[in-house]
Amino acid sequence: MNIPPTCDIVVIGGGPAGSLAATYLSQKGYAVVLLEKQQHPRYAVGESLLPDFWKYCDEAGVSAKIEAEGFIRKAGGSVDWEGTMHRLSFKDFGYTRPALHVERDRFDQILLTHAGACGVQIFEQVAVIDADFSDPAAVVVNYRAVGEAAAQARPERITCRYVVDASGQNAVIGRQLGLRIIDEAFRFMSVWGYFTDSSYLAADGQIYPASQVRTVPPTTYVSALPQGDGWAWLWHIMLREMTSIGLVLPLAWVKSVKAQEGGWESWYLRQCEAIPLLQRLLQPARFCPGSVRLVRDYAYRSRQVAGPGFFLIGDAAGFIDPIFSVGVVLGMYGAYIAAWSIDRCLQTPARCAEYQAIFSRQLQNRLELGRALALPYYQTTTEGQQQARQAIAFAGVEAQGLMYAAALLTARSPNFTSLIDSPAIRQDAQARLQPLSVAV
Amino acid sequence: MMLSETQIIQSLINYLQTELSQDRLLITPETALIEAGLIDSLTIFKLIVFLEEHFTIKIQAEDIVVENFATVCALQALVQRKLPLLNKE
Repeated sequence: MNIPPTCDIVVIGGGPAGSLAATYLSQKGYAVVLLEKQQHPRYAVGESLLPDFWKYCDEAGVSAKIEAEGFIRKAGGSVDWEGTMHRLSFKDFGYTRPALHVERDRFDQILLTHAGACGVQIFEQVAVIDADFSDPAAVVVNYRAVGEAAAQARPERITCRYVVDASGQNAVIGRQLGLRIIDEAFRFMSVWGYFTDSSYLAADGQIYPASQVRTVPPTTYVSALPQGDGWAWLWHIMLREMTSIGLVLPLAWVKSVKAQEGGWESWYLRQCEAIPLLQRLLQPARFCPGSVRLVRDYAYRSRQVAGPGFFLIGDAAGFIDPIFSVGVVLGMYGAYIAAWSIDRCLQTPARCAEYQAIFSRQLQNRLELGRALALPYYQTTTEGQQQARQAIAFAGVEAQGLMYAAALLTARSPNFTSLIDSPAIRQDAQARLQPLSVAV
Repeated sequence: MMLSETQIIQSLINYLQTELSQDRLLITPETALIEAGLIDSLTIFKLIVFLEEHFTIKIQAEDIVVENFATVCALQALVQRKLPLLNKE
């Protein structure tokens, strides 16, 4: 490993947010070092991407590589919420580019490899321990090799102007500085696993076998679950070879039924069997043993997303219920505006605090909008409401309509009636929802 | 250099027309820039750099609200407020 002793920017983490931030900064001419704890390709969840992600990939020059991979193009969503089923198609909201279902090991690897091709120095199996911000003009990042080289590895250091924490839920810098706030009103848990040969729902409301997934685009199927007062839900995401199926459940409910035999895997399979439409889709499917994973307590935000010497982006800045697939796009957005802000800071150091304030306000606005969209009983301060309103106003007509429609589908619309002023957008969104009935 | 209201509007239209719309759209002082898709979460940052560098002004975090970016007229008013007194008519 030849990690240099100094550089302009250290990026922690090689997921979509880290890879894109590093790419943008390298394209602006800065010396960027990216430290990734794992070795790509590596597993990650979060497989559904909204069409908005393309513009960030265009900006990085990586869209052609993603198109060439042949990921599954999805047509929209099929949502079963408390007895009412609807579908929505992205093209009805004016989107011209496809949403994707991606295997994140491969998708993330494409972005990371592209960062390397753009001049980013990438070092994998390197874990950042912490950073020393006592001299804000020369941040010292302490790291250590993991994996095969770990036995003889001693902590080492690299000095930089800025560190971008894109370390995902590890949130290395956020935890070190005590910036994370766990969302007490939203203590959920997610359990998910993989199947082969699952049938799926297409945009026409019909059920198709897995063999047709490349010819008849699937929808992301989302359904409310009976556990926990209408908060709980499931996802069904068709990938190229497998299907990802996940349950999002209130932690309190999970705790109340925890004394179950057979461990999480059999518990998960029993939950899947209890949902009639899911069971119908899974009739020809085979479960992949050992594929069940779970995450607890995963909704949080940060009291601060930038400060002297650092920026937080992606899941390291905040994480919300993934119900509307906004996570990856939010990570890419953070990457873009962090790179913008760092570039402005380095060009005009005297105004650094102002550029960090612009980054912070815009990212916090977007996170607040994400909370309004995802939290079933969204309660916030007047300031939070204003933040979400600003973020949605800048989102454009298509995205506003899509968000409003998505909110209607899942009984989260009361949050949105107060955020979207235009009666036209509300009516259009309503009109574009198509009732759906699927024979189970 | 004294900048008139008309000059500011013309500079803004030129920039939006050539850089952000790539001449796809005819922009007037009243065009709804966000609804037309010209200003979004990404292009607004390019626009901020243009505003700062072209007019030698400083945009602050609290200036980035939809009311200031809705139309060319709104942008012109923002620029006018930010220009040093010397430049105002």
